[in-house]
Amino acid sequence: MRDPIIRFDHVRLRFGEETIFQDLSLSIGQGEFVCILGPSGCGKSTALRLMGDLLRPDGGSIAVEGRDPRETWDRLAFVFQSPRLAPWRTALDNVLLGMELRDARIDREQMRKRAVEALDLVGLAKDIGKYPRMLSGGEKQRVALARALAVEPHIILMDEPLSALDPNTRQRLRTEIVSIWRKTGKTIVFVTHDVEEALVLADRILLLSNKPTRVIETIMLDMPRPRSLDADACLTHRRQELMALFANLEPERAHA
Amino acid sequence: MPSLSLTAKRKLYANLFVLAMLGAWALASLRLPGYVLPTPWTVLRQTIDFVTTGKLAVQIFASIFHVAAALMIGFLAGTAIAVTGYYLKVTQVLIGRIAAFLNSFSSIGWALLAILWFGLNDLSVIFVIAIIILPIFIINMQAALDQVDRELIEMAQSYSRRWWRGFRLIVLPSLYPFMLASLRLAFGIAWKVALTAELFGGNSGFGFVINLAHQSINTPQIFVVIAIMIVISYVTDHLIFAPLQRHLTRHYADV
Repeated sequence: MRDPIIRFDHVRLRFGEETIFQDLSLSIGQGEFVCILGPSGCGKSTALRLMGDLLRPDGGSIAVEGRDPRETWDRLAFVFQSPRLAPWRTALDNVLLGMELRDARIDREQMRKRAVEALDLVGLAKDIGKYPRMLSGGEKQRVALARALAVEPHIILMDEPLSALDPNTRQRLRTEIVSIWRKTGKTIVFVTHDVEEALVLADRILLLSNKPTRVIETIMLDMPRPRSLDADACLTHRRQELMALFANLEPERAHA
Repeated sequence: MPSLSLTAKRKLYANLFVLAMLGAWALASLRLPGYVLPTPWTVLRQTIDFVTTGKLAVQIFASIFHVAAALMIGFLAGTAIAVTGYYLKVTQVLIGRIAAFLNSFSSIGWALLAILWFGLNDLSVIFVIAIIILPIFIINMQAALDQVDRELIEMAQSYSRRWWRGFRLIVLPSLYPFMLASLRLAFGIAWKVALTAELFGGNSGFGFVINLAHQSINTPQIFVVIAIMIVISYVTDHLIFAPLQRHLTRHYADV
């Protein structure tokens, strides 16, 4: 594996009486596209929050680029399940918002240039003046992605960013996320509960268990992209394997 | 009758009602002595007279000054107190008690106290208005802060560790529509409190004029003050507050 950029060692976390992580260890390589896959409520999003220092663990250690997350929070950027755009700002101003929040010292012209580039990269060059209410769900999520890209993070943490979108938009955005990842070389940690999504996107899948959560399976995927589940026998096989594992974790979903 | 739109019909009824009331006033005033009910034309003539000769203009500006100054002070103090409670949760109970205390005391009580503390002057009047509208701002701004989108706040936290930036770029803009709504509400109340405050503790303004008119049994002058107050209040609300609030709500609230 490549140099680890994120590392969890025996991480422990409790919310009141409930143990979320008893002994969670994992590592993510520099430039890797990792999908964290698991049943709903298993603490996938919580793991991202720990990486981004929005939460502190109760025990064990977390290192991002070899340092404590408290020192490295500004190397990461989040893309959440909902776009979380400010309704009073245009697409361009929403991308600028991320930069304004993070670092007020950058020159205004420079910021604008970077924001326009990021919007161009996500395919919204023509819509920079539109307000969120004038954008579709997929377009809003693209703005959120541009906002993350514009702060030039080393790592992008994506928390089920496509789960609220319609199937067609989801398909298209998957492809685009992969191509942006290729172009920028950033490390992406992508949380999902969708087995197929993980198979299409990831270099490596970390399958999480129910609570108290641990990694029960690591799946390496070295097939070329773009991937199609129907065309690739190897992927179909992986999918059956994962579905079987998933069935034990979350019976209703696997049969659905 | 040609068909009218629903809005036009409603307006017509409202206007007819106002005309009917004016007519009733005119009829009644013909039968009653002038110190009980002056005629509409006396009031109109005196209003024009007062405004054009500048006799009352000074007093109008005094009242506007009192209300504007108190609104500014009440708004800034109330918002600051609510924001303190938002960021320093330990102060929340204390602030709740302050608001409840302020809410329970009447303007006349404050006016009498203000005379003893500050004397008969502008400061007393502004103090009374400000302290009466202060809880409106505290309570409304607290409610507004509770409404700020938590997901946006968390987004801001993920991009910045400086609370000030999150406040300036996310929290404050989310409050704009609520700020205007509470200013509008407080403005209406401030006008009414101003009259009481000036009557008891002032040496200028509408309340002061009414007090003088009352002492000299000059009933038309009281009517003149009422008429002017209605006009100012209506014009401010319709020409300033209402359009501004429509704009802010459309722009800053997620609709």
